[in-house]
Amino acid sequence: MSKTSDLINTSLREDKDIMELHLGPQHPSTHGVLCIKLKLDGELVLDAEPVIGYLHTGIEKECETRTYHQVFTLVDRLDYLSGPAEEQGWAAAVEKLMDIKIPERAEVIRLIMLELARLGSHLLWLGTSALELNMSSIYMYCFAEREKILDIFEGVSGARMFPTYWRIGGLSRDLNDEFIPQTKDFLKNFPSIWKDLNNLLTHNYVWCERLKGIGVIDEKMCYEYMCTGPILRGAGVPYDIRKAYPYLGYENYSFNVPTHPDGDAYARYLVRLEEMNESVSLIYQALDKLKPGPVIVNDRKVTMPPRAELAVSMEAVIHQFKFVSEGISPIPGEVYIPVESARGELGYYVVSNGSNKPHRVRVRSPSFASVQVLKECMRGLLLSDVVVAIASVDPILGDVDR
Amino acid sequence: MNTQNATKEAVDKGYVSEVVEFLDETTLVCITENVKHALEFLKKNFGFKVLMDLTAVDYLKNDLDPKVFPEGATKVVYLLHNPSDMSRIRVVTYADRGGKLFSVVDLWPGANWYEREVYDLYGIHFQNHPNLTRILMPDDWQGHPLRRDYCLTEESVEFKNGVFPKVPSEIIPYVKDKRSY
Repeated sequence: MSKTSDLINTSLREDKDIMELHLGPQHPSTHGVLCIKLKLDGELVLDAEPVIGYLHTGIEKECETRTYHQVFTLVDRLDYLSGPAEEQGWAAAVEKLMDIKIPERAEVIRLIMLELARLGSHLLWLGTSALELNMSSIYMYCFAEREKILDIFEGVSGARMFPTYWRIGGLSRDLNDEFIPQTKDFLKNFPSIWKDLNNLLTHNYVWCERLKGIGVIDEKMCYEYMCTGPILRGAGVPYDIRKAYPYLGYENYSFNVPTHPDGDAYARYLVRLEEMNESVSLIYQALDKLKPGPVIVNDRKVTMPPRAELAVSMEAVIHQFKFVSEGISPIPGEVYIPVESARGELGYYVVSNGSNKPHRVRVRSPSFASVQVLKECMRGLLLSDVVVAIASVDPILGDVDR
Repeated sequence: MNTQNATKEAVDKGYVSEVVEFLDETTLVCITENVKHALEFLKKNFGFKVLMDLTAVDYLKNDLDPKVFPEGATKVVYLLHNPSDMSRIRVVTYADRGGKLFSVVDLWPGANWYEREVYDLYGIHFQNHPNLTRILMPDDWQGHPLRRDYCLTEESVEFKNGVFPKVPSEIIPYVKDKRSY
């Protein structure tokens, strides 16, 4: 480390031919519209400054003009690889404000969907990271598997990436008939694919040489820069929201929190790889717990009446009209709900003023913190390793810019 | 447990003017001069060494008690996290809209971008911040979008050096305030 900082200092002092290079925002290996202003001496990175804001959509502002149940479609689009996690955050925040206990079946289905989304997100991350190191076959393996997860989502909710399956108080509908066989089929095949990926990468000379020692983020840096998720666990801290602040009954499942002490890109790769295994075991456990029952609370002030009731009950029609035109009004107050998304702590800070629209919706996005820390961990790398460092923190720019 | 002790000590020290308990979440309300002292105190003595979140909430004239805040206020929210026992505490302060606060970048380097975001979207100035510029909006943007009186507008995509006057939305119902921002 001291050697590289010496090199940087010499380069800066001697005022050599320092080149400023804008990597991105339209660059395929920056995982979205992220721009990084690099100061280079030859191939050596002297300074790096991430520039964000190219995908700012103003969703937080937009949420303030929508009723509580309209927000689901908006928050889905933030972290577009794990939409269910965003929906869970929003739903849990409103449910806490309104003191709603969701049915057990809804909890289990939510958990399965969350873990499937985590698998899908990690698979996409692994595929694209490998593609950046010119290993295109791994990309294909990962995407073939992710496609199956998206098919499951499509069957359940009708949409592949943005399910909008959550509702305040439960879920929009029950599972489709193919869900359980489809999921079991996926889970049966997945371990062999996982093994293939593990065999192809973990001891692969090129992969190890490119990843080891790159983008080191240690525990202290994680705390200073609020990094969570695989970055913090890759630095050896077993911090997982599912264990620390359990939601959806995660405390009743047995799973490990994989950690690795090194804090480099390789450690984060190992953590994510292990997490996929844990997700598979969680889904198996959840499928065992799946019992028949309602998937949404039976409270007409919170949820829509079932379609069949509308034909026979005047009250149901009134409730539906009130629900659609006015929505629900939680008590005034503020709550913060953390959820473990695929990238770390995803927090929903919701301020209600007692009306039918939220006063403020704040999304504490994990990617925002992990992009900020890039500035610190990229100094002294070579230009070709910059791509690896960006990929290893797994930023989703929709989530960074919100 | 830690949260209760920390709350008690911070109140005894005189940094906190009000403690709000709502749905098992503790919020310490500080006056703007004291908030940095309170954060430093909690970080040094109670192990709240992670600033999990830094954000703000805007309140217009009649959103808050008009006797205390006749002109409204911007509530700046700090969420502290203790990694050893997972306790959390929220520290808030009511600053004037467009007012000034001391930056906490020297306590948490990672607060840098969060403060830039609050400056960008709410117009709160953080003193002693190393680089207080816009972060999400374009550099030449006018106004601070997350303020409650900032209209949603109907113009299409904004490009640099091409900022046109904004037209309040006809479709989206919102605060239609004709003042210039």
